[in-house]
Order: sequence, then C-alpha cells, then structure tokens
Amino acid sequence: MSYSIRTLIRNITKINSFHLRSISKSARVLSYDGEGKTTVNILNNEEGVSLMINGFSQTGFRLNNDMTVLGPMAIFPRSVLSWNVGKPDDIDEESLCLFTVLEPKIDILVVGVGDKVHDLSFHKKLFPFARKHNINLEILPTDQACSTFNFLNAEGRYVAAALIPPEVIDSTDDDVLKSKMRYQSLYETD
Amino acid sequence: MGKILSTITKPVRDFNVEARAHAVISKERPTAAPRYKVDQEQYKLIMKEYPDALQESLKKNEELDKHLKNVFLTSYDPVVKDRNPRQNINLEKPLPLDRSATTPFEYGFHEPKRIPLGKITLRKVLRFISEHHVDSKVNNAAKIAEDYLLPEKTVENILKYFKMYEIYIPTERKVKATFAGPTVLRKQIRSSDGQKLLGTFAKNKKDML
Repeated sequence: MSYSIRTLIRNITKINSFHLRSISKSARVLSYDGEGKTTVNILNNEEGVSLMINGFSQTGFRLNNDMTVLGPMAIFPRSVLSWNVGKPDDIDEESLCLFTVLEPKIDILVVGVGDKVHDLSFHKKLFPFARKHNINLEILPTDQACSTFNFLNAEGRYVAAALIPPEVIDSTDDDVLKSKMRYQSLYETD
Repeated sequence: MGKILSTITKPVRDFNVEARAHAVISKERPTAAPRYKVDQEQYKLIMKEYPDALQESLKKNEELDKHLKNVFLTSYDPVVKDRNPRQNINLEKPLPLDRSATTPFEYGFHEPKRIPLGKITLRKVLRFISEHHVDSKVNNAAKIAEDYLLPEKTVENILKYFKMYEIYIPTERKVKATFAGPTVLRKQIRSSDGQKLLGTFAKNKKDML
C-alpha cells in the first residue's frame, strides 16, 4: 500500500513538474582542482554577453535578460522572434524559410525538436533542405539545443536556433527549489 | 658484486685525496693531457718533415699584421623607400586605418553594406515583421515583397511562421507594506507565528524609534 502511494506521489510530481530545469545542472565536476584553485565562470551571467537561454519549461524559455518567452521561439545572437509551430512535424522548409534568406548566411542553425525524436525520417526530411540552401543544420532535443546555442553564441558565431519547448522534463530537486525561490513561494505546497 | 667491491676499495682510492688534489691545482702550469695515439703520430710526422713550422707559426708576421690594420668597418642606415605609398591604395577596398577597439555589433554580427538580390539582413526582417504586426492590412505580404525585393511566397511564409513578441510586465503585488521586507509574506509565518512575529517586530521598531 505504502509503495503504491509512493509511486502515485512520484507520478503526481512528474505531472506537476512545471519547474524550469536549469541548464547549468549538466556542468560536470570533472575539473575540480581543490579549494581556492578552481574558479567557475557561468557564461550566461558574464558582462556584455549576448542573448542566451537560462532555462526551459513545457511552456517556454527563460533568457539571460530575465525575460520569459512563451511558446516556440527563433533566437538569434541578440534578438528573438516567436516561432509559430506546434509540433516537430510542423518543422519543414516553409517554417524554416527565414533562415534561408538571411545575409550574411548564418553559420549554424540549431533546431530543438522538443523531446528526443527517435524516428530518423524526421532528420531525413530536413537534410535535403539543408543541402539545398547550404545551411549547417543541427537537429537536437531542446535541452541539448539550448546549451549548444549558448556555447556557440558565447564563441561569437552567427548562430540561430529554432526551438520548441519539450513536453517531458525530468526536473531535479534543485530545479524545483530554484524555481520556488524565484517565485518566492518556497513555503507553499503544491 | 660491484657495490661490495667498491665499498672495500673506496677507502683505499680516497686515501689522502684532498692533499693530492691540492698538489695538482697548486701547480703553476698544469700538465697538458696526453695526446691520442693517432694525433701523437701525426705530430711526430709533421715535426720530422717540417722541423721549422712550429717556430715559424709562433712568430709575428709583419705583412699580415699591416693588412689587418687597413681593414675598417663602417655601418649606415639606408632610407628604405615607402613600399605602399598612399597613391597606390585601392580606394574601393581601403585598408583599415582605425586601430581603436571596435564596439560590439548591434545584432551580434557584422552586417554587410551590399546585400545580394533575394537576400535580406535580420535587421530588415525584424523591421518588416514589426510593421506587419502594427498594421497588417497596409503592410501586407505583397507590399513587403515589393519594398524589400523578396519573393512574395517567402515573405508570406516568414509572416506566417515568425511573429514579434508582446511584452507583459507583471503588476506589482499589493501588500500592506508596514515594514521593509519581502513583498509576499511567507505563508508559514503568516499562518502560525505570524502575529507573534509581527508583534515583536512592531515592539522592536517602537524601541528603536
């Protein structure tokens, strides 16, 4: 009985996990030299840095200028546009039309498809488009696409990303705590 | 085995070593190391064939000395002609002369002056999307395509799939702010010890005043 209750609670927490999952979580602890010897620079927080993605949820994205963007977006080094697509199947030559007419040509286009697409026909559908317009295309799940965009943008490349918010997010306790602190509802129960 | 032997023979080898060393280094002229056997034979051969050669080489040759005195070296700095005189600079492709630090680009990348037909900069795309957003009837796809020299189909797609954002700034939360603190009272404090805490705070405030 207790087991079933626990699984139920877990399911509920999974369903209710509308908390933004912070990207910094994936930073590894490999290069730690000891106290006082290691420093950490967080790319998103550095001064004069261009637009980056701090977090994402099922509803949208949080940028490093404290703006929350709702729905899918097309993000450029210093500008952001709403992207009017619903699901990964909507991503085609027409919905990526803007990226083909830009001058100077974008260095790389990162497409975040939401949750991971296991069906390779999706990729096959987009590759002829990329070849036709000579665009460097990177198709990734949105969580990886966000960090890829951040890194490429930090390097000063002319990168564009078209991102759909994911539907499934596995948030950690830390993520939950951070979002509760952000909304100043630390002591409220769900 | 070697180590055992050396431990035995070392005291014998080192006997009176310092005095012997002093004797060697306090010599007025150090004894030259013996020649190799091949060199020795060569030397002997030369001395036999040219007995005067050694004595001759040690003497000063007046003639050669005079030649050496006549040699002089003077240095000068030639004026190199300007290889890139200003007249030869291609005015269509001038070289950069400004060495000051460049400011970061407004959109994060360099925008070229010349745009090929059928292409457009991000700046102009953002402009026409916002124009369309403001008045979609006047600034329709056909007009934008004509103004910005783009295919109408492309403009239609861009306007269909890319939109401007509207910014919503959340309203301030209204709280009876009797003291400086977080705008939202923590639920727990409010429900359980809220009054007590607030009471003590007010008391302290009075004391301070």
